[in-house]
Amino acid sequence: MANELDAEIRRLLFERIASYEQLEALLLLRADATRSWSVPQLAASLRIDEASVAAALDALDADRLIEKCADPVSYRYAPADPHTGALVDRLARLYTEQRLEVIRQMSTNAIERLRSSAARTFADAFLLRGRKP
Amino acid sequence: MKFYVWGVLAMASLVPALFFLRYWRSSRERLFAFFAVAFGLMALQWTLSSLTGTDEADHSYVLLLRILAFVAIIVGVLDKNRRERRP
Amino acid sequence: MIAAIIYCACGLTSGGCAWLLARGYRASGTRLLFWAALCFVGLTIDNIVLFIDLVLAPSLDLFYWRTIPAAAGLIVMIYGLIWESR
Repeated sequence: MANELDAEIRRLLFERIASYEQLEALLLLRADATRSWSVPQLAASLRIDEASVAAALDALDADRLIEKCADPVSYRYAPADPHTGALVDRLARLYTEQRLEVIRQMSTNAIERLRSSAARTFADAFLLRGRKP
Repeated sequence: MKFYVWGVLAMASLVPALFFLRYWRSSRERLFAFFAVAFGLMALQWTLSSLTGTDEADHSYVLLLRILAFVAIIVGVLDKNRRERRP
Repeated sequence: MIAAIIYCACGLTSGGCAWLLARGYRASGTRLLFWAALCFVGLTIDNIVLFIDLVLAPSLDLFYWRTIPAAAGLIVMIYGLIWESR
């Protein structure tokens, strides 16, 4: 009998953390919140290739979970508001204490995202003037 | 035989209606609600045909339901296009 | 007369849906749209034959010419909805 994650965490995972790379990168950045990381440094720490890391970081930046500094390109943990920060803190704790649940939830989310992308494409087909994909 | 066909059609349009209902719930995209209504009305039309034995081709009132179903689709598509112009 | 126009409108609506979904399928390759387009083709055939049945040839009974395409279309739509997220 597994403990289900609460609704807020599930929403955070669904809406703003789309992959394991993003999750690991976010938690790593959070662990040392004052430090700014470059892509190669993160790639080395996470042992993931730089392209995946860069993509994950851009997504996290777009979701306002981290902050991107332009010159030189580096990233820092910066949640959009205190409430989000508290959520990520809770997520970090859950990831250590109930990792299986978090992983399971992310897999479910991935399937749901796939399903909803087909549905969204269906709905977009009815835009008479079309939409750029 | 006609009653069997009407029954098949009623169920076969009810299932997509339920799928559209679920899509609407999870995506909040109103178009799906309209499609759910449209396919639901089609299911209702065929159910009524089956229960009363009246064929649409006999100018029966069940045609009204079919028309309403397509009106629902038209309204849904127009509503979506009014809400979202091309970005 | 008005009735004939209304039945035409039904056919045009379902035909329009089929066309929009076919266009969407060509643009995106999403299989669901393919099956949905086929569904609306079936419904369009239903509407067109219904129009013929009601207005042009009321003496004929075109019941199966209407309902079989509609049923086929709906069934492939169900198939698509169930299998579209693999």
